[in-house]
Amino acid sequence: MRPDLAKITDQARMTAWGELSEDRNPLHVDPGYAANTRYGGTIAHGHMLVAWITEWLAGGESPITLSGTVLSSLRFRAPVHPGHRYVVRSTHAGVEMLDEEGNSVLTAELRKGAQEDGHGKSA
Amino acid sequence: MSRAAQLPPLRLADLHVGRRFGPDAVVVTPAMVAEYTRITGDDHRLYCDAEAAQSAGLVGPMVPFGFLAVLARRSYLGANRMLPGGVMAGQDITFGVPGVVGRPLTVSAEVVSMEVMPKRRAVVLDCRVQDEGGQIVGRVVIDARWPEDEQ
Repeated sequence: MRPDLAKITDQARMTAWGELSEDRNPLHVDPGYAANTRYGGTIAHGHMLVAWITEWLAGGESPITLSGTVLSSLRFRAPVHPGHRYVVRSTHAGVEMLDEEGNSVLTAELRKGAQEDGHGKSA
Repeated sequence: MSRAAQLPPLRLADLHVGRRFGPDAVVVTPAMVAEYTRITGDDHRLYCDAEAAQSAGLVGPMVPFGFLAVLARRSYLGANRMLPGGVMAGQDITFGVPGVVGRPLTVSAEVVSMEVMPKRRAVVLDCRVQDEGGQIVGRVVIDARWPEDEQ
């Protein structure tokens, strides 16, 4: 079983991720704007959380081993805020990310699938 | 004003089932990978060490699989920006062959479904990232919540 992976982000990293990904949605990068939304503050980009999941999937081994892996039904269940600690861990079906209170903020199923060719067909 | 802020928004009126985006060429540079590792903390040597990559059977350092979701987003928003209120509800991600840092990748997408929801639409996009040989580096099916266009 893969070891748990703990992660904390901050606003500076989230803003930098916004530049890297070209996703400068103010909900992610503008605390003043985000404070007046239903989230009460900025939230992390979903694609940054996917990056955390792929790091956990590799589990310190070669990331090449992810080839052929399918991460399905990935759901963002609650917002991830800067300054808080989150833990990525395995579940019976795949993976989940928990906040400091143990609430699930992200879930996904995991399986080894067939490689696809460039036309979307299983090889 | 940033480049992204100057881009025209991609509105619901611009979308329909079957609409295709791309293919567009994207190169993930060593500088982008360095920034990726700084932000995420995922600093595996296969992302930056050419010798280690070649020892592992790769042509060169690999694009982190964690970058796939960013490339998938770029496949349909490369020339546009998302309107405030647009969010990602979920994804299905298939990891294919490793992409190579500094080498061209091709990104493309297709709208596969659109469903009406209160105040927004559920839009599903099938996004693909392929290497120079046409092999799938990753396939990301994005379930997005799109804000209704302002009247």
